[in-house]
Amino acid sequence: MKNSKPKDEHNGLECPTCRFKIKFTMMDLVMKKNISCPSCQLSLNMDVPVDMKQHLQEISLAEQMVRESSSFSR
Amino acid sequence: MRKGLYSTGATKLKNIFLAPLEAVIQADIDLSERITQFIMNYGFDNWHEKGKMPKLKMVSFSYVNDQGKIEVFSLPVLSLIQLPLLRIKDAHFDMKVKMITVDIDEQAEPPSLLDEDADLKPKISQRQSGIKAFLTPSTSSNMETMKSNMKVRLNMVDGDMPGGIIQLLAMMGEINNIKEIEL
Repeated sequence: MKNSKPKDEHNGLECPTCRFKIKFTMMDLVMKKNISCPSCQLSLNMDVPVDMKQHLQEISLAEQMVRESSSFSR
Repeated sequence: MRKGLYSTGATKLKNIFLAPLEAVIQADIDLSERITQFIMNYGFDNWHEKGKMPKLKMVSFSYVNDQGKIEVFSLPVLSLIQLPLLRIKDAHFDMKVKMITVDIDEQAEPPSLLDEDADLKPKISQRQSGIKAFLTPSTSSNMETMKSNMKVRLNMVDGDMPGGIIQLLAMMGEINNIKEIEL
């Protein structure tokens, strides 16, 4: 299987004015209604469907649980 | 029926190495299946309906451009956030093994009255030699350490993100529907 190292280069939204890659977290998509470009401060309104928000919230909680239990020792 | 050291817990050396490796590979396969299911659930609508092309779940964005017009565009949700692609990157197994040479007798089958050819072909017990091993306790005690004659370290390493997923994400970054709305 071909694997590659860069993991999050392709994720995010390219700012339509300055081409800066705006990074998102799941909670950004769940909680926020708009997001600003950290480079040019362009404000973008976001419309995330409600069912997707519920799904994202579940995934976010699951991810948090994985992070908490990612290391253990017997 | 087999004689030998099976009842004492000794088994073929390759089985001792194979068991943890197989378990890790199986865990990785299960994990991949779960991740695939997650991507399909999270990124696509109606993906389980047969005969229909799955539809990408999109997030819409809008902003006011330089000319005072509202521009609306949408992007697949899969391209927005980093997917939690958990993989088994490195698995270490430390074990101490005691190897022993054993002779295994293949016991002759009891003669059968129904078998007409039994007298013609007498069953001979076969003796085989082989190396068998069992795991020994891993303690700091010298006595326990002496019981093992082989220290084994197996390493398994897996990569990061599969190339196919990277290509999929790159392709999704290109998919956007831009509309211009006049204020």
